[in-house]
Amino acid sequence: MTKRNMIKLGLIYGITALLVACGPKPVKPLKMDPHYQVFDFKQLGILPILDARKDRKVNYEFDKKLKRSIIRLFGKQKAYKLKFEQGYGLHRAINPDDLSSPDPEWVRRLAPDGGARFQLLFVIEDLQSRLTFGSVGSAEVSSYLFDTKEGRLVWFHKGVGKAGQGGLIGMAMKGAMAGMALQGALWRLALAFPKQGEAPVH
Amino acid sequence: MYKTIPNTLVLLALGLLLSGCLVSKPVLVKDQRNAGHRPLALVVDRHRPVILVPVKADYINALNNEKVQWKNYQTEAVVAAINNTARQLLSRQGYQVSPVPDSTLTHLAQTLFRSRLKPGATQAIQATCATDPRAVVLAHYLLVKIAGKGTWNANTGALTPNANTTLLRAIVLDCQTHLPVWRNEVFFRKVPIVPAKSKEKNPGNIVNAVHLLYTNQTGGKQ
Repeated sequence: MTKRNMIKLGLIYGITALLVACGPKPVKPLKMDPHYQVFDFKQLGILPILDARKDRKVNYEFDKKLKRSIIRLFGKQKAYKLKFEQGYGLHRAINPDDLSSPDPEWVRRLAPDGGARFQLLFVIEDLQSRLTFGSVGSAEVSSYLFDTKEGRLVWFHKGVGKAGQGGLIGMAMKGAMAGMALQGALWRLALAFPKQGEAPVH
Repeated sequence: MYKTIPNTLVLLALGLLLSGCLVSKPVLVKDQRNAGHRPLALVVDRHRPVILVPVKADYINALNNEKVQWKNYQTEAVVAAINNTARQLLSRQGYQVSPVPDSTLTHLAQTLFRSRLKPGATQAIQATCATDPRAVVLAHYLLVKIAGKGTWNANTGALTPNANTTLLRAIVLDCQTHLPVWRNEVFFRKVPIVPAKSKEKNPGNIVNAVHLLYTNQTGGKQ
């Protein structure tokens, strides 16, 4: 190999290493049950989104509008086979305060008949969109992964997303800000979710 | 024509700015779940003494749930303002309020809003009620989520909002049954501010929030 080729190869390696280093890294989730060393399950149930906002001024169809993002982030990027538990509403009766340490019996009843063993629940904690000199939006989304066979909370993390644009263009974009902030929050949330077959960051 | 166009533009820009200022005010929101189901104002038998336990306050980073400590938040002053305002308001409404200096319940305040009480909480209620089993216990929990200040990038025009929020919750528990008799909460999009020296002019948002918590008002702009 000539000296010139060596330099080219070195450059390619260097740039690749730089890109990998600068890319999104796995994030340590806020809560991870040490009992689960590898996320080796293939099917992931997605429960209807729980709206736990205190301020419900912003109207948003969460289940309809976030489905595509959930498929992209958790289905395509994380390689799980997603099963949307449409119209299943047992979890909606829950007090959001109970989610951090749920009753095992309640977790066991969370999956509908024939549903996936592992169920992922998204909880919308906050969503705002307002006009300033432009417009801004912010969103806070929590997510809980339950093992409905064992009755355990496996994983918990939350994501905060912010969006905004100044000027008249920003003012015209007010309607889109809530959605953009939600996308950002979901993206941050997904960073802490292990890929199918990988070990979570403990 | 040349005179009217700039004037129209200036008026338009001023109108947009003003509308922006008006809608960007934080809104106080009462617990939605209470609406239509339970009375908003505190309704407990006035013959029963109210044991007021000290307020538990958590200031957390919204991004990672870690505790935030910064002396400018004046946490102690905020907690004192909640305690004093609640005591004064309830006394004015005819309740016999007796504050306790310290209680294990304060540390468990966060868990009192769950569907089932933790075993430790039941014992703590019993200990707090030891002096008068006819009484009810009133506990407050303040949760402040800090999510950074708003920013503006002059080059791209990108804005990020100030996403700080405050949630003040109150719960009244029966000393005999240990069950919640009443609960309510107030949410607003600001860090709590302690009352200024001239309380009449500027009572501070946290005092307003306590007033809202114990009255029949349905919320509004602050």
